[in-house]
Amino acid sequence: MATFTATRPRLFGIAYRMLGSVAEAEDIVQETWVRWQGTDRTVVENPPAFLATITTRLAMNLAQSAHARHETYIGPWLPDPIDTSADPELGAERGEALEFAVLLLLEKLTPAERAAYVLREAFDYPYLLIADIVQSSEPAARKLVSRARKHLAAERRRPAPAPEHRRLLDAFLTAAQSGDIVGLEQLFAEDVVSYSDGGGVKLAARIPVAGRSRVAKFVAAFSSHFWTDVDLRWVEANGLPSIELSRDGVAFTILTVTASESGIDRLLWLMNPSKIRPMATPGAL
Amino acid sequence: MHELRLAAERGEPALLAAVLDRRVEMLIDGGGIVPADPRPFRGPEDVARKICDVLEDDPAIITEREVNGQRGLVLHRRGEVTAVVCVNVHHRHVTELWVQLNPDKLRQWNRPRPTADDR
Repeated sequence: MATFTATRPRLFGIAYRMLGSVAEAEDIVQETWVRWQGTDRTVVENPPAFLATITTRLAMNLAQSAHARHETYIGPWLPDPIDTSADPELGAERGEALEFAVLLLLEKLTPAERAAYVLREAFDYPYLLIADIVQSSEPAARKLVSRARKHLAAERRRPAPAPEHRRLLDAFLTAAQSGDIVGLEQLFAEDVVSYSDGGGVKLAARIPVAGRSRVAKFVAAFSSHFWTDVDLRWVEANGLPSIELSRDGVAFTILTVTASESGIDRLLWLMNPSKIRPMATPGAL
Repeated sequence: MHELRLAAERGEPALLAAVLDRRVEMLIDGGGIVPADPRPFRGPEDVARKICDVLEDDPAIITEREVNGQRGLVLHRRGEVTAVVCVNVHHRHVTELWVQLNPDKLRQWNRPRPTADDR
């Protein structure tokens, strides 16, 4: 009884993260209890792992049918919210797999992927144990987790649609020219990187600058002189709306950004004269 | 978060829109039990207006809580929790609001706190 009680929050945490439903998670914990009662515990080597196995497998089964139920659900399906200020225990383990955005994405994965991801990310289970729980091999378990991570990363980073992309670049130009650090930061994804390709010729930062506040400061730092007397022209580079910067009719930089839902994630400053030449006045560089 | 609550309480869309990210999105789950818009609301203006309209029609007491390890708001009406909102904040602006209105999914917010034993 003591073993079960001690493991119970963990079991609830696994089932809730896999299903996004408090009621279903509670049912599963209850069912786990029933099965534990009927088990000869003298042969169970590691009771917490044994209980987690039962719970996870029950949740995987339910996840299968839950998916179909969500499809016929009226309106958007959202997870049951959990009061983590009153129940810190649930969030105490690693929090990310508890966030709404993640729970919503998990719902799109296969039950095995979900189980493997939750056990690994939220509870740090060894792959060998995860393999045992989802009834596969250790390499397969690793693959499940990495596939789940990839799905989540891809979903979270859907590229911004073209008009949005253009708008971001436009807003970037405004903020960059006025040296508005806060404005710049708001346009950037957290892990934004600024790359300059100066081909060793122009005064370009040779090392990429990374991170929201650093890139914002970097861009703002050259706001005063860099944009002076510069003509801006929208061009297309690699299929992306880009900006050509020119001074006295001579193009000297092409600026392209890539963006996802979280904002601008890459700034590409093409300052290498040999790469700009086709667009610039011949011989002027 | 605090600002979001105060702005919602004031019922002033412009005030509310100011704390929302320009790409803010709001999803509402009514589960077919409570009338809710099936499509997400996008952009500060639409989201702010929707929130203010709802609160004007049916005022609620709003408290700040931690929901799923993130910031959240709880709406109480007539002594019951009628909505729980989970909020994603990105750089001091709200980027996502997930609104749970389905009473079936709010049941644990309306029952006495379970003791450590039942958990």
